[in-house]
Amino acid sequence: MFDSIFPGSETIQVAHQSEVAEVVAAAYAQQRPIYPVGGATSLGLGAVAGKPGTVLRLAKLNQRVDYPSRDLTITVEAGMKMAELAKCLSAEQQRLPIDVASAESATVGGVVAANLCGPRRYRYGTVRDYLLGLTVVDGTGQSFSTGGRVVKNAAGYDLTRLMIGSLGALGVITQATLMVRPVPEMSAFVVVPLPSLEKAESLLASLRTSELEPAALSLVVGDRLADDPDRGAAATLWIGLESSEIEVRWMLDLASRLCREQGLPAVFIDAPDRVASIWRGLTEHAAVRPDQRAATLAVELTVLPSRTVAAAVRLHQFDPQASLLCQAGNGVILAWFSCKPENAGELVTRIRKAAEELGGRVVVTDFPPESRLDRSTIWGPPGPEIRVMQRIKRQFDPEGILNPGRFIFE
Amino acid sequence: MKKPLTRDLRRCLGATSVLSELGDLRVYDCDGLTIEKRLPDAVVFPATTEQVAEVVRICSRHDAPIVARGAGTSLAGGCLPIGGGVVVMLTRMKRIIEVNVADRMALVEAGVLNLQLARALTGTGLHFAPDPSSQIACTIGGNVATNAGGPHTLKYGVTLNHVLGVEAVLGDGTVMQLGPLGDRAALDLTGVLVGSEGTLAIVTRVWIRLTPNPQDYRTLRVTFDSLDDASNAISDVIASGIVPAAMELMDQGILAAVDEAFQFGFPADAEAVVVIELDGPSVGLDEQRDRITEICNRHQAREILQASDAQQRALLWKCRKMAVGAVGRLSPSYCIQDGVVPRTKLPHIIRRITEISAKYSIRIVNVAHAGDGNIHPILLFDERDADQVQRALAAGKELLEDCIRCGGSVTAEHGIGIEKISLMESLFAPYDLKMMEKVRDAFNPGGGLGLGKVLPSPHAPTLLHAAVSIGDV
Amino acid sequence: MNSESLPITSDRNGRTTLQAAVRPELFLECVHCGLCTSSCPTFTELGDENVGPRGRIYLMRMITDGTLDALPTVRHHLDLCLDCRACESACPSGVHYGRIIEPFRLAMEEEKHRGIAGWDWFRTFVLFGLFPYAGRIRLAMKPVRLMQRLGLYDRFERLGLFKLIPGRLGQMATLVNPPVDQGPKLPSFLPAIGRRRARVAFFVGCVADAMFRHTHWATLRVLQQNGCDILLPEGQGCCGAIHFHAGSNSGARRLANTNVDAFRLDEIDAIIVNHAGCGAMLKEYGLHWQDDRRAQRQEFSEKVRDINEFLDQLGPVAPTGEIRAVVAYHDACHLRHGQQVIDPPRKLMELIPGLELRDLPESEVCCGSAGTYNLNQPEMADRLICRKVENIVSTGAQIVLASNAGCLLQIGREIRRQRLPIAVLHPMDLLDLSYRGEQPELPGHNGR
Ligand SMILES: Cc1cc2nc3c(=O)[nH]c(=O)nc-3n(C[C@H](O)[C@H](O)[C@H](O)COP(=O)(O)OP(=O)(O)OC[C@H]3O[C@@H](n4cnc5c(N)ncnc54)[C@H](O)[C@@H]3O)c2cc1C
Ligand code: SF4
Ligand code: SF4
Repeated sequence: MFDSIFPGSETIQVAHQSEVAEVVAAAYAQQRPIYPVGGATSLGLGAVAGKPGTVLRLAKLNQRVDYPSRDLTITVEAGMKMAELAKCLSAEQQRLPIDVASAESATVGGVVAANLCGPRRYRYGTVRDYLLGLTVVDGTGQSFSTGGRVVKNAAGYDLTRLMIGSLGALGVITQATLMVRPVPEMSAFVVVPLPSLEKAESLLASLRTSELEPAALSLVVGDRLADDPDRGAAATLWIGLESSEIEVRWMLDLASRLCREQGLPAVFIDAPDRVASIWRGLTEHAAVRPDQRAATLAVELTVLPSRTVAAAVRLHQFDPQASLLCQAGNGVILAWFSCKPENAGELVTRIRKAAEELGGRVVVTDFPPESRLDRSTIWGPPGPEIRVMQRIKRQFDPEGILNPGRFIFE
Repeated sequence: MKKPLTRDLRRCLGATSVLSELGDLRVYDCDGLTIEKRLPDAVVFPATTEQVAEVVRICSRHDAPIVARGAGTSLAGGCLPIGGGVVVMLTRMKRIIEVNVADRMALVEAGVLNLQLARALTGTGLHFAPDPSSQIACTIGGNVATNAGGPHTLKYGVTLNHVLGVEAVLGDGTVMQLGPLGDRAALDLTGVLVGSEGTLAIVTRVWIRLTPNPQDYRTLRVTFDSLDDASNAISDVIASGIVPAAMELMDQGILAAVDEAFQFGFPADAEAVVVIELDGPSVGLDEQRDRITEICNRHQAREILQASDAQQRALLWKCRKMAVGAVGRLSPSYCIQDGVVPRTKLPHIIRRITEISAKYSIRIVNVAHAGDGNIHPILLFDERDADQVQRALAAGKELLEDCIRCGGSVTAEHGIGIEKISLMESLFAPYDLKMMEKVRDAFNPGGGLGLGKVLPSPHAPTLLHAAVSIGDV
Repeated sequence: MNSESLPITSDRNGRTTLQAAVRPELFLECVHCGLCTSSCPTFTELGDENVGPRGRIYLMRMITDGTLDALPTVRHHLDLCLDCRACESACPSGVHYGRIIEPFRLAMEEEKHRGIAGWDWFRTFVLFGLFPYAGRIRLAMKPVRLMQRLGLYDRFERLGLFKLIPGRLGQMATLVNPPVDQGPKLPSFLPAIGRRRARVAFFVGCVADAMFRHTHWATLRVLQQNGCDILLPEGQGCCGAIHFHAGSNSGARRLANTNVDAFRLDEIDAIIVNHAGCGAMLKEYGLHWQDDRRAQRQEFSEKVRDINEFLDQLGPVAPTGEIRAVVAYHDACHLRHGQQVIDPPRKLMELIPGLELRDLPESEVCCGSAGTYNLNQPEMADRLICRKVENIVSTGAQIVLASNAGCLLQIGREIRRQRLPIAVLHPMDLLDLSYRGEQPELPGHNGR
């Protein structure tokens, strides 16, 4: 099933945290690579594995460990699906405001390891802002815990942060404690179809400096959401608003006034079903459909928020057919290009150069497996800090058996 | 060996930026924690990152330990120069390099004061959210190093949540820049450096995330006859799903000190006052306030007052922020503890504090960032009385062990420093600590930065046998 | 732990020793939290704990404990203290910094000047010989004033020729403010205008009388407008602050007693003083010395009011004369930190129609004048005044106000040096103009 990414590897399924330690310890003894896999939704992130080894499937590690809802924290095993987590929290009117595509498959551990997030990051932040503690098995098969279960903790080094986005290269995450939030009373959208991409610039500037604190500011170019009221427009800005009803109504007013001032039409959407469908749409938009992987290059480009539109314009110049999903409040652009495997490397180089001119960074988040992009193409050239990261890697995984070759490390 | 060290430092920084005479060094033998003292061999005042890097290189050549120091308000002994060596003062690196309003970020040097930044931001509509009570004096570098929090942490998060990146000097003198753009192609080293208390690197610059000022506030002062009612009310507010900007508890003892200092007129017979602040768009605030009022009334609140204008609000906050300092009026010495428990355990831990106070006959007064479950019991004693010191230390230890038992931690914001090293082993399993050591070795291979801090080691001083008379070195 | 009086213990020969200068309990009030450091001008300039309040307290404590010798570097750190007491305002623990540093420095000075080696011509002749006497100051200023009138002063200053005059005298010469019409000699009584609301006595002082008599007149007229009968008792003199801070304890006490003798307390509601440095000293008469006259001095102190404070308490009669100008108010340390008078002058200025009062950044930070500090520590004083003037300029003010002679001189000099079009006035100067419906003279762009 994972042969295009982990050629020649066998698969082991675990159901208990202790088994993870056993499997890794054995692999450590044999110096055999371990490829941890949660929901397999983000396997496109990272280079194709260099050596055959063991694919360690964690999806059965899915128990809820502790949910003291009055503390607004929850502890779960790493293989729990995001959708399952959401269901569990919603019973108490709570949620984790981190959106990830394919939530029915994506696991908590995978989301932490790949540092995934979606449109709500503008207001609510990323995994970094919610993760309180972890249990992890390191590259020698020994388990350790980081952080704790309280919302504030300054004891010792914050190894929790270290594990976020470490892509399974420092350890296999087996359990996580998260801070959660109450579900807001109301959620609504103001949708602004834009005659041109450039037109977004002044609108975004006025939104960002206004008193409006939207949950999301997503600019969609190219491929559209099913809910888009005007697919003929050059781009669509989705302003997501969440809070108490009275505040949301006030924000709706303010947002539409700001749009009017820019001479732009705005559409209100507050019917709960449609609102939910838009959040889903904006979140799922980020996923590359499996049937298109072979011919799609996906990149994530980060610039200062005020340069989002400029960066989007540049990307559009490379390929007017490209689809862009811009988290405009954060300066993060996800872009998809259809591209032949043999051209992928060159396209990345051009995009990276353009990004650097805007002071930005690029990471390839998915690519045609056939193109076999190498690490430095995917992650970009490392700075002097890579030396520290390499030393950490050696300390945590002395034999280099965890996800070898996939992340920034050898 | 010491002579060549200071000679090299002088050559690098110039004579006016290096102190090495006994008379100049004594004030650097401790910070906000005074029960332990060590004398450095030299104190330096670099003005640039390059000078910091050069100092670090010189020290590593001479095998001299290094301690970074900002305002020295650490309450955990983070600035104690264990093993002598060099204190690197960041106080001359205090330029605000850039304030970028459009992108809501700022770039500052490590020695910039938290308050200095706040002042520089007036008129921009933005602020730096972490607001420790030591705000008027502490540095941003110190905030980053200790992952400082404050009353408004409840809604806005701690320093970690507001740091986009740092420039830092490693133990071998390498300068690295991390961030400010969120970067997937790397490990989150910034996240690890935040809260590392100067033991992994010296932070020289910080990219800060700025937060928009809320449109409006409702600041309530709720008086309770019983401490128990107050902590139950707090716990209920959190559970109800309202997220106040801040929710701060002050008990009778601390109120007396605050009142002496600021003549605010707190009722002298009430066991507790809770300051609750709501912020955000004006339209939504009254509704939230009413819900909170209802919860407080359910818990027999005696009186609920709302600050009527910005001035009253400012005064209320001044009282809260100065509360810890005002304790100096109650007793010649104090030790402020910093425990944290799951929020529902707040009533339990507050009751335990009362018991422990009686058990050791040590007076304890309380302030707490109660909404976060972060308690600051303040133990009062006289440092000239060795027996009292011992009892205070023992009481503090028992209290923190209780926090651990509740599923909490021994520090929420002040850090481990030297003060709490002995508790690390109760909080973490041996292998957890081993992993931390590995991280330290990766950043700081020789161990010269912040020697003897944070992790148990042979260098860590044992506080229970500390010399307590001032001036004993 | 509350010390009502400033204890000065002496050795067997009746002389103060360093170790015994400060009562040890005063040190214990300091819990070493460090919250005061950022308020200290010398610490923020140099970033060194040795020259911050926490460090200084610690140093003095160690000397008192006998664990540190009073080494020359240590003395230097203490000498560099402005005694501005900003740290006292900042300290949440209520540390009485002034009561620690003042006797300590007194003892340091006394030790230094014991014996011929420590004899200091400047101190003996200039500080103690000149300052208590308004007449002598006015005489001494004559050459400078003459040069100003002849236009030579400017050239001198520009060429830096004042630097040729020996150190501190040169500093003093440059401080002298340009001549204004000082008005006639002060009378011994002035009646209230309109309904009488209070009966007060006015404290005249030395430097203030010599250099700011016009401000005295303004203050008196303002008091009259506010319904005050004013007595100006004969026999009063210098407040003694300069002696006290420069280490002449006995001289200061003598002057204090003279003043106490000059005022008939039962006849008046308050003793009004319009310069913060004098005011702070008068208010501390009751604290400084333990002898049979302490109670009398204490009674005197209790009657002393700063003019701003007094008018605010009395409820000022609103002035009507419009003054269209942008002003910034500088907090004199001895008013803000020494007497905690912060809002009254601002409130008074807001009464003047048309006046725009702008916030002065760091208005609470010392300008470097600090009594005779600018004479003894010119380098630090220079840094501080430059910073002060930079802040003043940033407000765009046409007038900067300060309620203290030292500040007015120090700020005035730097503004002249930089040729800035900014007038330097006392709040009473402006208030008086408004009552009289007159306009201030605003300097043109060449700084005159
Ligand atoms: C009265 C009082 C109230 C307080 N209230 C709070 C509060 O509400 N919340 C809170 O979080 N803390 C509080 N503190 C603790 C303290 O003020 C904070 O930890 C603050 O962040 C320290 O800043 P600083 O500049 O004083 O750092 P310092 O005390 O100088 O240093 C603290 C630690 O950080 C290291 N360090 C300093 N600068 C750097 C740098 N540039 N690079 C690397 N390491 C560095 C030092 O080595 C030391 O280990 C309080 C302290 C006092 C005295
Ligand atoms: S003087 Fe006051 S503020 Fe300064 S360190 Fe001492 S107690 Fe703290
Ligand atoms: S009096 Fe002024 S100069 Fe002296 S320590 Fe206090 S703040 Fe600093």
